[in-house]
Amino acid sequence: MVVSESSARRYALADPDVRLMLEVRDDNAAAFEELVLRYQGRLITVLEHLVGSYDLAEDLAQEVFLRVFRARKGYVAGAKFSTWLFTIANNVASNALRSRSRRREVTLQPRDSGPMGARPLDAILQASSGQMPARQLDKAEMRDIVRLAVAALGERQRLAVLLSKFEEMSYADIAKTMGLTPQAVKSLLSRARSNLREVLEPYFQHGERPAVENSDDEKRNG
Amino acid sequence: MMKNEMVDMHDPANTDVSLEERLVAYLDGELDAEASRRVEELLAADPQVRRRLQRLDHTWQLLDELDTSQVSESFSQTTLEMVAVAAAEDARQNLAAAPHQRRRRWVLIGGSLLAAGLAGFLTVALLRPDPNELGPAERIELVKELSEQQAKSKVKRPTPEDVQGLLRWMFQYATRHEAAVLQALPEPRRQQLARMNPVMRRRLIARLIWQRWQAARPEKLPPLTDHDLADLHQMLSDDTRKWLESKLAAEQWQIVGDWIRQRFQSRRFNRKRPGMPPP
Repeated sequence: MVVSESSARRYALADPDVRLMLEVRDDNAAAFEELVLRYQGRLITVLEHLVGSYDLAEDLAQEVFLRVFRARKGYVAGAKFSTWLFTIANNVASNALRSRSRRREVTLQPRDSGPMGARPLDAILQASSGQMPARQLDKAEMRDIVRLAVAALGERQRLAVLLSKFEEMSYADIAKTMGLTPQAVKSLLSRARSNLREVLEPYFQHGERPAVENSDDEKRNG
Repeated sequence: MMKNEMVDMHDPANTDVSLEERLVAYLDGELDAEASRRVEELLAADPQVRRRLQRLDHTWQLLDELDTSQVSESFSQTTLEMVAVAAAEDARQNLAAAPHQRRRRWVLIGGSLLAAGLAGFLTVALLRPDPNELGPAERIELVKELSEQQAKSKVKRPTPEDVQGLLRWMFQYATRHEAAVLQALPEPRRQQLARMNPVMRRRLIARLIWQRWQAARPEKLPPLTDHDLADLHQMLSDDTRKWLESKLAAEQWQIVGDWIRQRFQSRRFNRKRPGMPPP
């Protein structure tokens, strides 16, 4: 990325994390520690929902920070630090999901459809809504259902939703992070929200059990 | 619809999908003023579109139920340690990849300085009237002898090649004693390390050992065996190896500890976090 000196100064002024990263570039270990402390929670949250496992999310977050450190000498102040960080996170997570998906092809039984077992949302919906459709959901159950609905999205839709919801990123920033055009992000988020609505709405409004189709191909292609 | 784009909601090209996209973009604040105004007009005119927008918004609000992860207390510490170990390894690799010429230049500079010093000394020694009765040749012999004695008693400074060898040796030592170090760790820490991939685990263990060297706590180190010492000799430059081998084993370990502490303690990377390995 080519950024003029004046632009770099502007970015550094606008985003304190860019300033910190510039100090990391100059081998300031305290600045790096500060960045880790600032971003660890945000990064692990997005990664955990993306890969569906806290332990794996922690490992991936460490890998992300390691890559940030290793790339420090070539860091050029640009736009937002978080966009750069989550771009790295996207690459790391995609590699991990690809490699997990390859392993699953070899090891799982034909009936398995994903990392959380066969149609997990169906299972939880069967367990709760099927028996008592009109009852009030408790917080934990609602959280589980929402989490599983997000997990049922394709990988790209899921990441776009997480960046939008948790990081409050603009379409332009999500596009940079995911290597897409803003128009593509717009479509992606629209599809994701439609999917979420289709899955969640009948359940929360009428207690009906929605049909969740969730093939691995769809998951990969978003 | 993205900012700076015009929207015509009455355009037949506006399919159901594109309406959904516009509504979502409207909720996300991604429409420009003109496009927002058009969506609002449509919302005012059409109760079905209003309901659709509300449903989309409601679904989005449900995502507030998602947890934010609680980061484990040790995460930042482990991450920083891992990065520090990686930094040490990078430094070792950089050193190994340093251009040959640069090292040769330093050798030449060092050699030149030594020769100039010797020439100066000889000039002064030979020309200056000496109050002693020793002749010039005898005095040179005496100086040589004294220098040799001094060299024997003085701690040798490790060369860049030695430093590289030391780092290499540290990883080898960590590998050999990995099980012993793990065994001595508290249970939670041991479990945490057990979950890591083997390469990362080894780096962290090397880092732990490194810290113990720096803290001058040999009692916390895995046993320093003759085998370890022999490995270390293999990784040092010839001169340093010969010099080190002339000492007793205990003295050798003392010297190695001094090297590790003196050589790396003052580096920039250690400034804020004492004990971290060099970049």
